[in-house]
Amino acid sequence: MQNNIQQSLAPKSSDQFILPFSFIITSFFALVIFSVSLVISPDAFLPAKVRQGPGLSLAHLFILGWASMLAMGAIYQLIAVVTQQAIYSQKLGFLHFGFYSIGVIGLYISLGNFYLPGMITFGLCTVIGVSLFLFNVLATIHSCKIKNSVISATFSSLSYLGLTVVSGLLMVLNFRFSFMGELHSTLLILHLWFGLLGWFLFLIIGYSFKMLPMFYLSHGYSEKYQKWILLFLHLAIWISILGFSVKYSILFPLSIGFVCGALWLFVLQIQEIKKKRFKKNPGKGIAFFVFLVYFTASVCSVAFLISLINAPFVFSQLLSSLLFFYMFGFVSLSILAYLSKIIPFLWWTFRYGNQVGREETPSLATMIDEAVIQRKLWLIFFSLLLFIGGFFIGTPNVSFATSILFSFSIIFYLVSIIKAFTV
Amino acid sequence: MSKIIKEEVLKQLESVIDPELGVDVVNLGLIYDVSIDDSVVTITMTLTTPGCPLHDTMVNGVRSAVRYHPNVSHCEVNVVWEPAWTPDKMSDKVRDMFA
Repeated sequence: MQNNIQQSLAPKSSDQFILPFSFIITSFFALVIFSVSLVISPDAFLPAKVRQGPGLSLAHLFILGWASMLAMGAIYQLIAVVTQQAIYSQKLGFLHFGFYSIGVIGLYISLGNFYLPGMITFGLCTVIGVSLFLFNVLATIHSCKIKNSVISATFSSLSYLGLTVVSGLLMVLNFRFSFMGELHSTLLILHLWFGLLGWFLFLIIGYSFKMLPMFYLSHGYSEKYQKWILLFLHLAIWISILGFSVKYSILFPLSIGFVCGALWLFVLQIQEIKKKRFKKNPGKGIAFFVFLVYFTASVCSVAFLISLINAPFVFSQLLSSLLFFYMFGFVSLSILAYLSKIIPFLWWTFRYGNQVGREETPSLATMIDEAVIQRKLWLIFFSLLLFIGGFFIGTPNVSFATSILFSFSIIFYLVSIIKAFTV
Repeated sequence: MSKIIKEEVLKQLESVIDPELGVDVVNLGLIYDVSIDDSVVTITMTLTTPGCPLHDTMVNGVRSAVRYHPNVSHCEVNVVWEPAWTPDKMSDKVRDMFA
């Protein structure tokens, strides 16, 4: 029993708090700016305008400033849980925060005006920030002796983030020097797939392998589906990229099929966890996340079936809506749902961690109103469906109304999350 | 110095609550052993999962709670993963609460 004694995972509770908190609170600001900007430019994501200044600017703010900023903060908080050792360097983490924040804010402003020197300068800051992040976390993983699906998913996610940055950098350089010709469109697809499917999906699914059993208090469950989920995701990304590169359309349905396969296997993995659960209620936010996985797998299945009948229709008419639902629905809502656990835990550790064993401390459940959280997550979900529906209708008034509702629902939810800091 | 009784230490440890589950470390079955050598207490414990995010908080909480005992001069806390914790280790009272 004494041979396997675990040492402390982190230096100080304040350090454990400040680094992830810096990213998380900045991501909240980015999300609020995004929501307000969307009301000002409700047509920014219409297919005809999404590749123009306001569309690009808002998309990057959402992906880099909100979703990635928060994901990075969550990784700094949870990497010790996954690898069972502290982050390689806290100082590098803060340096990453500095470069990345300046880069993202600068990109948001310069992309909006399509100001090339700004795009290059702030793009470089973002690249330096992400590179520091990748080095820091990969060095932590490198010195970790544990080998499992969670580590493998984290490594894959970080690798795809690196590839997203490289492809994005090449695109910016091509804007300036025009050396890629027709390859620019292929590069855009690479950039999107590496970032949206590679970076986010591997991270959400991989971290869920670890977090869901913790919230369900599940032990002794089968992990047999995990490696297949990761394999299917890799295949989906590379087959899709191959399809776009050689313009071989039969590969597109195959790629969607592998995403579907990965999502349904993830559903089966969740079922395995639930079979051995000891807690009926993992938390309303987590239960919503599980619903979201089922819903996204169903949407993906419908897209797969349509692509088997009429692949060009899916890629010319449906793809932008699917990507929109995936990013603003699955990715963002998953993050928001997990926040209902991450924020109370982070704040509790900072505020009450040192009082344990000395004074009475509140439970995490009392720091956030889970019933309210659940209602507001549903509100965002339905607002998003209306917002996407507004695209199809295409009239300015409908776009304006649905964008206001969607923006309001996000800010309304954030207010409930931020309330945890008042306990 | 008065003798330290194991039951007194366990009583102290019941004040250390897992904030996610709302249950103390003793009734959760996380405490594997309490050994007392004069005024030095050594706690051997586990957590519900390896790499638990509450690792440091729980260890520090256990240390603080034991040192609250007037006759304890030092408390050593060892976290072990073998045997692994399972819900079977919870007290009946707590198990019924989750069921």
